[in-house]
Amino acid sequence: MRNRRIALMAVPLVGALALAASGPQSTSRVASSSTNVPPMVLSVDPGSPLYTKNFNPFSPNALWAQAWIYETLYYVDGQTGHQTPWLATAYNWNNPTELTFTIRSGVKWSNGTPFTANDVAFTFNMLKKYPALDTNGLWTSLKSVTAKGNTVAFDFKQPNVPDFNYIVSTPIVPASIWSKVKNPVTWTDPNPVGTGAYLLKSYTPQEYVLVKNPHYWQANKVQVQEIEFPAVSENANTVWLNLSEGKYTAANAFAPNINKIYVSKDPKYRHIWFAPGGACNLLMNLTKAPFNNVKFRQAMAYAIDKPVVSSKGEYGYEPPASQTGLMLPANNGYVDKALVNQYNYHYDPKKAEQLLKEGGFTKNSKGQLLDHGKPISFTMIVPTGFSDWIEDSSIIQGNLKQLGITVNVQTPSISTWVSDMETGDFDMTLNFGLNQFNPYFYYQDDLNSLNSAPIGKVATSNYERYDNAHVDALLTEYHQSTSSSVQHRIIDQLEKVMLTQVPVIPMFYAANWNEYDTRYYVGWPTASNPYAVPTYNTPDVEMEFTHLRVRK
Amino acid sequence: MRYLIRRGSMLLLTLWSAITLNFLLPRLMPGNPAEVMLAKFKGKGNMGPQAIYAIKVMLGITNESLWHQYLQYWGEIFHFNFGISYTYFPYSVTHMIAQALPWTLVLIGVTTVLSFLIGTGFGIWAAWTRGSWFDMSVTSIFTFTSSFPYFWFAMIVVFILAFTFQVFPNSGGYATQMVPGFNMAFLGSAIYHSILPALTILVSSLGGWQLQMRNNMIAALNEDYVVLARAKGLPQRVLAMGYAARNAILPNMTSFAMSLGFVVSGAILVELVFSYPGMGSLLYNAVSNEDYPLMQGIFLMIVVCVVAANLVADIVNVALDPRIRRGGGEA
Repeated sequence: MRNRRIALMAVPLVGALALAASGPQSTSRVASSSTNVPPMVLSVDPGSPLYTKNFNPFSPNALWAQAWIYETLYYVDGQTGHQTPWLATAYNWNNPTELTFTIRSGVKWSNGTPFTANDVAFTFNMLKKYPALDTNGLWTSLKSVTAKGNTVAFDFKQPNVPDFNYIVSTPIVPASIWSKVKNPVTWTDPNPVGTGAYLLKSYTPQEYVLVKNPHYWQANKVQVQEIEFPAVSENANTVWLNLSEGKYTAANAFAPNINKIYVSKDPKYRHIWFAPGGACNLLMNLTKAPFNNVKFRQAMAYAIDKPVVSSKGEYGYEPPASQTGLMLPANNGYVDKALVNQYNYHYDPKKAEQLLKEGGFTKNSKGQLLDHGKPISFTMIVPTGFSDWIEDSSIIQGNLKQLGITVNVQTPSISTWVSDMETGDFDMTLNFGLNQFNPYFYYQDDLNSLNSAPIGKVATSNYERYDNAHVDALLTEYHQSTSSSVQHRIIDQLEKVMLTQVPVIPMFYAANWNEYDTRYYVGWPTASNPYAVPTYNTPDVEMEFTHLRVRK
Repeated sequence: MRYLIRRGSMLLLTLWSAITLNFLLPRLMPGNPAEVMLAKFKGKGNMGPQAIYAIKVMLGITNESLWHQYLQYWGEIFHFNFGISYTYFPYSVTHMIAQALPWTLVLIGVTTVLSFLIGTGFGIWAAWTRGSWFDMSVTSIFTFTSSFPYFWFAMIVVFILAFTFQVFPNSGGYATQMVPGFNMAFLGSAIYHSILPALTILVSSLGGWQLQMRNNMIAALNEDYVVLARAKGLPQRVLAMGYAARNAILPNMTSFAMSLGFVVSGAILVELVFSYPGMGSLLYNAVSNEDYPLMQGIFLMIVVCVVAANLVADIVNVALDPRIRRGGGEA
């Protein structure tokens, strides 16, 4: 989770905090009844500043607890792409428009009724009936979802193989309860009934508590008996003070100097793993000069010092990204090494100068770079409050100044920034990339002209307005194919487009903030054992909480 | 009476324009709430571009004309229906305000009254004994504290009292495991949690009242009627309270009424520092998420309270100041 909105008062205390000579303080908590191990305390769910009771897993404002309560058909790991059967035991693509799942038997809802294929079919048909719940737009390509015995068949209007990822990550809800709900869009699901490992034990607007579901279908794998979720403060300083005092078992807080305020206070037990996510992109408005000149874009990819952006702007937490856009190291298997070496994108201002010369750009006597006789000057926008991105943009500004290019940095509000990108009213900006293991989603989002729009009209995600019929055809071919060799070949070709055309410049991989304490609980996902992404609000938690163990 | 009617119609006009502005201003902000929500989710990483459609459907964001929305808006105000909050969907604006308001009313209400009473009291005493060591020390300390920015002082207080010495909790309105209710344990916890925010607000707002009152009072003490009263040999107490202070307090009363009206808006910075569950935090979230319905609900309440407080101030002024009662009021 990117916690970029570093509130206005977040900075001044950092220094004081680092100076504070307070040693590790293990908080003495009341031991839970069954063991001597204190309940786990997770600082992940932001109350703002109080929780609103809402366990509806389809609501954008649902409490994070729903991820411990509702489960999905499959678990696809964001770091490795590894698929783990969950509520389904198997799946099969009969052909590119027909997908069947075999549903696990012996699973019970927490109210005791058995979980069946009907619940799965009901859940998806509910999304059809209420488009507001279908946040992944599954029904734009689905035709029907029907249960038959212990299988569920998904029929597609047109092939959309990558939608598998969204189908298997949709939370499944009990038909017996949800079919009686008048309007599932506005329902707050106050007493959630799921198949998951945990049950709601208590709720107050400042903290809720989950307790292990004794009838969970893999109950023998669940060792954490109780989890407390105090509302995470809006004020980053408070979170940092609490982190440093050791009040949390795990947290997903951003802090500029995490080693100093957290790890160093108790290095034996306190650890961090900031799992790399999707690449954040430098977007250039391709409908405008000089960005419509491919030589100029290539020059930009050499002119910007990504390692410095990563180490200075991003505090070293977010490693520089590959120009292929692939999420590394997770996507190492996709990298076309020969091609990457051939282009060898790295910080090289000389090479940039040379490319600019080839692109027909000249300099005047003042050293300004000229495009058709006029000095090149443009505006870069980054949202206000994203202090790391603002620092990044000033580094980029300095890099480009060396080439004689003037960059003005502006920091509009978040919504202005989004709407400027959507309508194409920008020169250059930074934007999030999708955080998915399968690189198709990143390319589809950023390169498909279907997701673009004319300037002034709203584009869905191709904000730089890249338009290439060849790329569109490749993406269409990809989502119609179930063959992994075909898919691999297409990804290779898209990589090549990224390297030759430079439609966007991937800058650095977003970090999934995660701090954890191994004093009482061990078995956390780490860089060397990335069995789940510790983000706490996706199906990842089911995976993680069937792996965590109590320290012996 | 004529005075009050004139003031009353003035107030209605103010109310109308404020409510209309309240409708227009959020809509002049660039972007829309679905985009803000999407931006939040994009940060989380897994939302496809289809999400924005689903979110718009969910929030009921329409493309109806502004005029149509404006008429609807008035209709809803008269029915006390402020709609569904976008940020806290599917909870209603009324629900969110009802949850936050008591915290703010008690914390800010009590500190505002205390700060006014103490500040004004100190101001009167300082002016009466002007030049004494009391006046010198109190006035210079208050000049110093009143220049503290709220949030800066709040952070210092948190760092020293909540982190270094751990005497008070660093955030929240009450102990996290408690269920809000009217029992001693809960009220005790709420008071314990409110001490630091209250201290912060008191320390940084006392000075304003003290300085204003002291200046007014010194001016009043130099008026001819006070000199006359002194010459008549009236007791010191009557002179100070009945003659000088009664006149000097008039401008202070007006600003006090105004600040009572603003109580409902909370103290954004203090509430944010302490994660206090009041109106300030709610308003901050409403604005940063472009939550039109919630913003409108909160601003409407502030406008109505400030306007009402003004009316009360006018009435109190009529009671305190005979010059206004006699019409004209030109001395």
